[in-house]
Amino acid sequence: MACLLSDCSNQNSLSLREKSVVYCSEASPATFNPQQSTTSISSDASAKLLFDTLVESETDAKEIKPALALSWTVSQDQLHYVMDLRPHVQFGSNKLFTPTRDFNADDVIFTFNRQRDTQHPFHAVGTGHYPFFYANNLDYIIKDLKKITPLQVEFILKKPTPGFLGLLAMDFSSIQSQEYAQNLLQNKSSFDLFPIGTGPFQLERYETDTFIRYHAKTNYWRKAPEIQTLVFAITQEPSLRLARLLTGECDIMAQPLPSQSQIIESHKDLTLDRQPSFNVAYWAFNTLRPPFNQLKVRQALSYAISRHAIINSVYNNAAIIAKSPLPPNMFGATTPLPFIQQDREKSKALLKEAAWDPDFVVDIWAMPVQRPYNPDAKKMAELMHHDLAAVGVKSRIITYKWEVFLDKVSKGQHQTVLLGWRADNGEPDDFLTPLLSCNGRMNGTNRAFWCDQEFDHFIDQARQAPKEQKLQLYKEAQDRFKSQLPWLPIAHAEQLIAYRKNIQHLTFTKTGGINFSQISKSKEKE
Amino acid sequence: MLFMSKQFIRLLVMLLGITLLDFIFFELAQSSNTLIPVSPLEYLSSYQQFLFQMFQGDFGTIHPSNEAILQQFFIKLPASLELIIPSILIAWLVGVPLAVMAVKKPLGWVDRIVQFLGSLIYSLPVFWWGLILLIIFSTGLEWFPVGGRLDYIYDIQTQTGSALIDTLLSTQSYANEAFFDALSRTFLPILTLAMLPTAYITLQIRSHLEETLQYDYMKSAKARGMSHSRIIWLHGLPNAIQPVLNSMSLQFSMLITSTIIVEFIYSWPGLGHWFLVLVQRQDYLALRGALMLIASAILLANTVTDILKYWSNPRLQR
Repeated sequence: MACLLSDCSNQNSLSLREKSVVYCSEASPATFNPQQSTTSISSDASAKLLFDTLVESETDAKEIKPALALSWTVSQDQLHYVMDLRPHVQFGSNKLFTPTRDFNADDVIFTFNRQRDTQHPFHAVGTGHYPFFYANNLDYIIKDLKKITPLQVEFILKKPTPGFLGLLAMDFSSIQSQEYAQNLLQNKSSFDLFPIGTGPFQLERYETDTFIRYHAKTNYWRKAPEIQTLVFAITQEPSLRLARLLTGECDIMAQPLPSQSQIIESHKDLTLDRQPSFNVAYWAFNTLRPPFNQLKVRQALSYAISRHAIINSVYNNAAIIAKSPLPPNMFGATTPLPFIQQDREKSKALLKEAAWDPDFVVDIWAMPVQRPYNPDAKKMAELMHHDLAAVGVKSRIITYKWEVFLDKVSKGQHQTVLLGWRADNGEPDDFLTPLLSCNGRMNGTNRAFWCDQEFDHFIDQARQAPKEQKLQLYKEAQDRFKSQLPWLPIAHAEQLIAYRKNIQHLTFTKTGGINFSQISKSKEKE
Repeated sequence: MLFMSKQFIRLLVMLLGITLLDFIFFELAQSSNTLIPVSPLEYLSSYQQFLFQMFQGDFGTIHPSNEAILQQFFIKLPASLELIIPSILIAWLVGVPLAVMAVKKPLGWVDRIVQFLGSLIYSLPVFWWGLILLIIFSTGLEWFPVGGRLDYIYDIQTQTGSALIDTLLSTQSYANEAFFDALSRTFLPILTLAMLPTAYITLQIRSHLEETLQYDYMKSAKARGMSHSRIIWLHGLPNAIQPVLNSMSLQFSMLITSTIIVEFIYSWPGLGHWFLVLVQRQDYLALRGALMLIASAILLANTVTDILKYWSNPRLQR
């Protein structure tokens, strides 16, 4: 009966199955434009799949490797970067557009001008926001871009910026097609909805909240992918994701719950990978709103929380307690100092000193979705609610639909919020600038709305300093953070991913993203 | 003729009532997000505009993809019908013979089993049955996929919205395989959806049939020497079915609710699933149009049932 009705595989279907990889993703992308993406799923679904960057940085983020740029020279004053571009790189095509030329300097200029020039015809397309570009001050740093020859482009900077090449390796620097944009002047919104890039895959079809279908490009400038089709099966419910993985409908499952790890590890066809990953989950206090503008209040609330209990029951121990905004294995993270431990007496004493109003209700905003850094914000909030009650602080948990939640939080409508961050590269600056700087406050990525001149001074200096001095400056910045406590860092989560044993060459970026470009699939053993 | 015109006027009045409720409901939902006071006159003019737009077939668009609601409705409707029509058919085709078998020997063992199972199925909620079947047949025995309309490896262009028809129309080399895959996925959702109406129809017909068989004309038929089966099928059943048919309009609304739940459990891309996704996204403008279309469809189906009931019952025509 089952064989009659279900798929009695013949040779043809087997090969079709072998040529296709289905990835059960945890959410829908908000955009296919990595310049505007702020969620990890948007980056996974666009950046490395559809696009390439001029240069790439390997895991330790120090070594910059060529990608779309073959080589580069930097002037003595560090203000001029001349990039030699790779010839014969082709863009993909779709029903709206077939390229007539290869990738060249115009595409590089288009990519960066779209972000930095507010008058650019494509600047306002999509959300019109370029959070990473602006958080990294590139609107100020880049003075101009010049085309020298079709395959040579020059970046002219206003001030020396040692980490500049690292910024060009980040997802927001993914190169877009200027020719495609020219074709869509009458229909600009299609540019990001039906993206075209030089990456290993081409977007074929996206059915909102259901699936994303990609096909591999045979003319990719690197080795073309071994598989033919890649599908993101959007499955928000973690138990359904696991069910689909178990029945073989999905080959890879995003973000299994820590509590599911035992089932996966004991299954003969499945593999569970644990990766230490660059991320942080935190509890941010909106420092613009009283009483959270008082340091004593922030400290008192932080001392009330048991992070051991959170690691235990929310993460199922697949995480470590955060002692700094930076993950411990990242360059610049200070060696663990004694940091806040739960201390109810101390918390009560601090509350008394701060003249805490016992009728005041603390709003804890908890994300409605599972993120790599936080598998269950609502459960976390419930534990915290209990901890706060124990020191006599009333609290309530607030949540909204994810997009609405993010929008309200970036406008500062919250009192306190449980959120987190996943790295885009291995640089500490990628955490400290967007999350804690005054610039980050303007862009809405600094959820504590904390703007501290001293802290900003340290990270500004660190960005330009040589490596040895950097370490000291980042330490000072973190000490300043600890003394002011705009948020309580909660945990650094392990990155979990589960897949079927016949999947090979699935690689992860250290930042927690998935790289599908070299993935292959063998026949499953009966 | 008078009956038809009455029905038509009733349909129009109810549709108008739904537009008003729909409008007020979503104005309230939206106004909780804004603080700008709006005068009653402004409400009236925006209601007028809302009516005018719908009259022109403009039910709004979905954010951010800009797809027209009306077009999406007709793409999702066939997927829901793939579940609803077979469930109704199964309910009648299984329910009626079971009821007849049960009533042949009241309180015999067949009757007891039928009554026990019927009450058991009827008293447990649809979502529970859905999950239990999923656990047994999908994740346990791995006989059926856990949900979705089609295996993700197949790329079948949506033409009608019904995966069974779309796979048959497809020119892909794997179209046949995809058809059988789509067919295998209908099994559990249809089974889940059919359970409740089957139990309802069985229990109702059984009890009406039992009652009918007590009437004098039944006894006289028996006295004339007609066989028991003949009496039940020819005389008992038509009389027992009538009251069940009468209550079907109410049952239909319940079936729609169950469809929403079943579509959600089995990730079935029909109207119910679509509606819940719009609710989750808090896309109020799209929801307003979608609710209007779904409500109109139910209303239309109810009117058609009423008309059929009228034509099938000579007593009503008098």
